[in-house]
Amino acid sequence: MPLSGLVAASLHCIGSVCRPSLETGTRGAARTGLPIASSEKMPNGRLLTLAAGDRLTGDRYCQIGGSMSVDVLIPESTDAAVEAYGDGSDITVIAGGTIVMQLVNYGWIRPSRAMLLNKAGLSYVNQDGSSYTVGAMTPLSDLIDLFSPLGPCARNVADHEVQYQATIGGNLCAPTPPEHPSGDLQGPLIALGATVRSAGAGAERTESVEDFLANKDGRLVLDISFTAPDAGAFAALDRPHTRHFTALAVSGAKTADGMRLAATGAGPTGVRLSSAEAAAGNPAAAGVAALQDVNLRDDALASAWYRERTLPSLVARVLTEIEEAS
Amino acid sequence: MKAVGARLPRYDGVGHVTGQTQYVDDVRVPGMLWAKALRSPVDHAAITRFDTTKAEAMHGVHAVVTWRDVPLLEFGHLSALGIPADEPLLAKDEVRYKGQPIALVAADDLATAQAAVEAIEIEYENRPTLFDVRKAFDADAPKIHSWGNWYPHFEGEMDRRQIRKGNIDEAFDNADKIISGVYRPAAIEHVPIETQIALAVPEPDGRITIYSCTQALYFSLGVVAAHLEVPMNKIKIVGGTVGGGFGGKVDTAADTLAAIAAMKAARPVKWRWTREEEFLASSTRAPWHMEIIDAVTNDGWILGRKMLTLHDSGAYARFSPYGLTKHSFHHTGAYTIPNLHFDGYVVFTNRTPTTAMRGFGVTSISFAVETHMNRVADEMGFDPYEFRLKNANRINDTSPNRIRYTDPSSVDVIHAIADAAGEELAPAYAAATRDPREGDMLPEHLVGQLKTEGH
Amino acid sequence: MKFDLNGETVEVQSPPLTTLLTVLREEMGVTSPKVGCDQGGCGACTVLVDGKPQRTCLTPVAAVDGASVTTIEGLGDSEHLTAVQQSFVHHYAAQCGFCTPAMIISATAYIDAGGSSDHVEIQEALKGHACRCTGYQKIVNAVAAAVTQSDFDLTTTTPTPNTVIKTANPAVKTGG
Repeated sequence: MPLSGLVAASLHCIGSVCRPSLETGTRGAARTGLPIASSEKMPNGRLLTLAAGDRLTGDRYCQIGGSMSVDVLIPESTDAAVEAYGDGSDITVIAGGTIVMQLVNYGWIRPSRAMLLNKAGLSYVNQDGSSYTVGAMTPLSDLIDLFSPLGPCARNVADHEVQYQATIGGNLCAPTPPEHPSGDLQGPLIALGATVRSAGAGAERTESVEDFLANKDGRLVLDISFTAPDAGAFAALDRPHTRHFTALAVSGAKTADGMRLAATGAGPTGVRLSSAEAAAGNPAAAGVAALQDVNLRDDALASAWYRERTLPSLVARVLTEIEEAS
Repeated sequence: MKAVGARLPRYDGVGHVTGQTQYVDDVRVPGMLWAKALRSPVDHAAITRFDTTKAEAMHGVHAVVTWRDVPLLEFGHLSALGIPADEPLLAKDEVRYKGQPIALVAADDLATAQAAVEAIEIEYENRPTLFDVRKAFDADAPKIHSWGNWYPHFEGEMDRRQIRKGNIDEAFDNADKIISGVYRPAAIEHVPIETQIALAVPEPDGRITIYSCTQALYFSLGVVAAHLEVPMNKIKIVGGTVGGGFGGKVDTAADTLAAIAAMKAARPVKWRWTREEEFLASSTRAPWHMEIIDAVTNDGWILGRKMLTLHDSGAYARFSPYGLTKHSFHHTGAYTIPNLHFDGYVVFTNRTPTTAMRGFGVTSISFAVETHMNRVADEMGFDPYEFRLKNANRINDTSPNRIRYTDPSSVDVIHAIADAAGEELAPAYAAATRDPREGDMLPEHLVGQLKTEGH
Repeated sequence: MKFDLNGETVEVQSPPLTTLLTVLREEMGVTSPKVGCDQGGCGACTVLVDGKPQRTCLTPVAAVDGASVTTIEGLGDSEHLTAVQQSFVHHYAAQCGFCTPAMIISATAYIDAGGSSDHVEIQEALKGHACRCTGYQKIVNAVAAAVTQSDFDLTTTTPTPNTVIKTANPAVKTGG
């Protein structure tokens, strides 16, 4: 195709194919537009990727609507629930349903046996001074007025309707799908040094939240215990497009034993920020140190790049708030 | 005319607030089957093996629809506007975007339909992909479309929408400064709360009734009739309340396949997309790449504009050539620029095909033009209102495609914005009107450029 | 399995893990709760369960055995519209109407629980509900008005002032 002189200034021709130029400006003091590829690593826009050969329809699009037949047990006491659970190998536990029913609706899990815990007597908040024991089926809405970091974290989850339905036990046990982190309450519970009492194969166990999370298969959470800290704080990223999920959050709790910090959205589960704790006297330094404790990755909510830049400021903010409250 | 100027509530307001308003998913007919689609899990691939035997044999499955069941597989929805067909209703030998539909199963219930979809045996051989419109023109770019990587069928078999007006060289020679900018709005998904859906009911007299969420009932009627190769009087489309469209329910996304499945199964078929399908496979507003280079004078006139637009059409053309055409007519925005050099390309990539969304083709250019006006004002030290008022369209100014403005409102709108923002304008600018240019508002470079009669 | 649906006891035939949404729409013929996402994210499936707004798409029907379920059909009908329903009509708070039944369910629960007419609080209460048509302003206005007013003129509408709903800023939410 013919080119006039002026056009040649803004088109490159490679062979017979004319390629529009990205170099803007032809004369005078030209100024290029916004740099598209900056020298810094930009997040990859295509975050939801599947390997070729994945069967999307089998795993993703299925909106079965729960029309298949499933044995559903509804135990009416904690003992009955523990007995029905057995070693957990053959049963899907449904607490509030806010996580599991999504998976059922989309066909990600197809249980043949399921257990509803809504009548198992596991919803309670027992307080004795500053010690709390909270039943696994306690809805988040019963926690939103508690002290920081737990209360604000619960209040930050999704919206009121989900808070009425979601439970502390279900949230603690949230699975980690590739699309986004969940299990927000893991952060405050780790920061509080909470313990988890669970049943399953063998005896009942009571262990730290981190130990529980490392080994939660085959366990049925009964209750979670913690002590109110001297001071606590919670800070979460608030991005409109991720309104129902928490891309990144930091919880802090200070007791006589020192400062504990934890983050969610910075790894597959909630994670303790030990390096940040060691530098807790200097919030800015602690923020930077926190990057050593985490395993950031891209997901549907945010990129590792973005989390790397925001985690230090969340850590610093939590430490500063606790400092000011102390 | 009692209604004009009156404040009236919606006629369906009471229906909405009592839950009585009927949407497609609320319609029930006896014997209704549920449909599920097999969709491509990959961005670009050849289909090397495709066997639906097991799915068809499953108990509770009444029809498995593939490309073979579609009488006219490729129909250009805007063929009346000269855009030829390029998109198969169901994939045949290849898939060009993740989520592209390959088969539709109609079964007694959703679980059975899903199980049948999973029983379809299919193998893919990956092909290289293209997602960056800027790279589409490289000699070594993967070939995405049988027509090449950009649409070649504008009038006169042009491969771009081209506008040339005035003398661009002279404008750039006479400029005091050249100011450029690149603008790249991203794709936007409509996210209607009601997903794509259709319920097709075969009638005893051989016709088919389709309860549709289309925004354009007669348009969809034509599309379905064309794919089915039947006269339009064989099809009855029942439109009604759309649960949010915004331009995304003009693509006739569910009606045709639901109709074919219903005819094959001889039963009513409802096909309701999941939210995930809606996000992945329903069309979006397109991403755009726009480069604007303006020739500007120190006293605030834009003498000329060079512009390059790359419109990301996704894997198929759909309505993109039409959207780009509208875009090109508006590339000067609310302002009069007599010397123009515009090239716009409809580029194919392995994205989900793009479509209309509120202000098709024009929201992108509005964003780019207004941002660029601010950029120029910043760089040249102009007041942003005065700069706009000076260049704003007036009666007898002409658009990029030489349409005479008979009564443009640009000046009044800019005044209204200044007013709302609490900005006080200098008297000469506060007194500006849309009247034909004269005096200070008629610089030399516009003399002879205006059109005093006709359109 | 039985539950109370808008004042009547109904018996469920569907399998126990069927969502309450599917049971209401397909088995009971109550189509006001909508399938918007089947993930609890859009809010369009919300009804009242024992007086609390709940996502029916995330509720296995077995979980409402013995409970009382109220849909918008149980709140008011065209002859007897509630204050909230009237206010939505009067303030033009519905366009396509798909999000409307659930929006009204949650707004009703909010007001019944003593919610105020403060716009920021109303937004916070309804943040689980997506609307793609109205831009939310008219919905907030409608709910605010229904806090104090119980009757609205259904033959005309009240214009929405061009206010911008201001919320606390931010990129970060904190608690302390």
